[in-house]
Amino acid sequence: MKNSKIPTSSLAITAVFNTAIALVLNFMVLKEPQFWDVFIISQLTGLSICFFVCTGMFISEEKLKKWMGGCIAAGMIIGIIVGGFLSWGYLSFFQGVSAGYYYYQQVFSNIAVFGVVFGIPIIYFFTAREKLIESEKRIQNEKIKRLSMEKEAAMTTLRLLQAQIEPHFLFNTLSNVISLFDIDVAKAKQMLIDVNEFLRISLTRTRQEMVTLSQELDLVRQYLDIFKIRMGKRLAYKIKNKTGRPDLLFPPLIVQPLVENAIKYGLEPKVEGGKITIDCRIEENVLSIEICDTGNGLDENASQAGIGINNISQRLESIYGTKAGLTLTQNYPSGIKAMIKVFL
Amino acid sequence: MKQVTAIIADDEENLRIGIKKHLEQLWPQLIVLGQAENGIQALDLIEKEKPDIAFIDIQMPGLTGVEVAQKVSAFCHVIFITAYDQYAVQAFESEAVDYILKPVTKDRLQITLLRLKKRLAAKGRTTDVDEKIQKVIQVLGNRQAPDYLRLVKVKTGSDLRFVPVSEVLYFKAEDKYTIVQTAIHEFLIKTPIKDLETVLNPKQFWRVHRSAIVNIDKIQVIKRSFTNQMMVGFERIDHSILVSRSYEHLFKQM
Repeated sequence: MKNSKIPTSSLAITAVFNTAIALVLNFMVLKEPQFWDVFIISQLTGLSICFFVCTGMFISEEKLKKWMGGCIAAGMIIGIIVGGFLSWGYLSFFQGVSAGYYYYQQVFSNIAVFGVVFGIPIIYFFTAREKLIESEKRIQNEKIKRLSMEKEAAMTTLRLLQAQIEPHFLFNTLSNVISLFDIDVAKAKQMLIDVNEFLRISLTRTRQEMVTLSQELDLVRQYLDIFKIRMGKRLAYKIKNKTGRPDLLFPPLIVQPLVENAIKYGLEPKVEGGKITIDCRIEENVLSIEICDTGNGLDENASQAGIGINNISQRLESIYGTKAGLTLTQNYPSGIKAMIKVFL
Repeated sequence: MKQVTAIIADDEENLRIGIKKHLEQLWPQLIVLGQAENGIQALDLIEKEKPDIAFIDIQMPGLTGVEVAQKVSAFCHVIFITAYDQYAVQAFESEAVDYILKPVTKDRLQITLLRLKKRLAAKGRTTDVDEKIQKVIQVLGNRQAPDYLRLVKVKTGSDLRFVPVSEVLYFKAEDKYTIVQTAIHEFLIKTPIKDLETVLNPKQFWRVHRSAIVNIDKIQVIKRSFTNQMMVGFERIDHSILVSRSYEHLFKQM
């Protein structure tokens, strides 16, 4: 145990206590006052107890985790023994008092009483101070946390609003519609209907806490239909809902952004395109939604895709706490598999 | 007079057809030599056919439009097509590089084509335009500079998994590995702490010890041990992380 582990502030406060004790003993209790002797013995004993109690607490915190009381008691006993020995040594060698075993016993028993009587309140004082500082810190932290959570909630809403109608998506889709009017009017109309429906649902949804899972999947289908027209043969998709519960509630803007990511970072940048498979089921009261793509995977563009993923995982946490999670793994032979699990 | 030739590159077929139709109406003499549906095809096509003009979409699979332009702008006049990209448009405008905004309208395309015809008529455009395009490419390239790390790639068994950094409580060095601690899992990665420090967002991730980086959003309590060591504790896990004295000042501003 190094000395540096013992806080100097604790030692300093102990020294002040020791001085006070020495003064009290010297002027009020002892019949033949010898101030410097009393002062030095008081310091030796007090500091030794403080040192060993600190060490005991350090051991209990770092190594044993429990047994706090035991470590303090052990520290105190060792402190008293060592303090007694030091005081006895001081008296025998510096003051020339006879250094026999009997004398040591006398000094020791005095110091033991002295240590217990003064030590326990002092340790109590320190522990209380510690607890006070800690609880103040905790309160302050919670304040900061609450404020930042409020800020986070506002930011999330803003981000959702912004993310919902991604300008790139909108302009590209609309220019498709315009081109389609020259090629295939029926298809152009269908695409406009899809876009209209997608915008209407997603804009109202941004303000909703919960929708049904089937509604969310409808939105995803609409979104993928738009991309099907845009990407042609490069995109294939399949949505399977095997939950058997049409009224199952689920937060909006969790599945759709994951699908958006799969297209944006997985399939669109891949020359030959690929397939998206969405699979929902309930097994043993756990809802799982699996979104697989056969795209480029996350090696490139990972940092940009990551913004969305971080938002989604934070959103899940703020809604479900520990009862839900999002895991992202590599899909074989290529692409990403996103898995949402919710304990119902 | 020599016939003017062009190619169109866009990954969406409907858009290629749309541009081609507009071009047929606005500039019937222009010969469209071919179309490409990704960046690699576009580059092959341009190198093979040597067109005077290339209409190139910026976002394409394989190679981006910018990457294609970088290779061909010396001998081919590039016109960028972009859907929505304020940043790119600003760069194009400031360098007077030609571009078309989606949705492509006849009026807007007409303006671009008139400007283009003037440029083609004037000789010696190559060096000038090439330089401008290179400048734009630089601007656009800079933007793609790597962002902060947002997903940590970890191996669990034979699976490769991506953990959002927002879920990470702390990173801690342990022997040759780094522990990635989330509320539920503990993963091991090989990236050393000092490398992680350079790629993580410093506003969210603080180095608090030679061997530890913590996610300050996840800190639940800052405490001092009886031995006056500062420690930070997290939700849902019972072990805390030691803060070196040299990093304590980070928390004093809070």
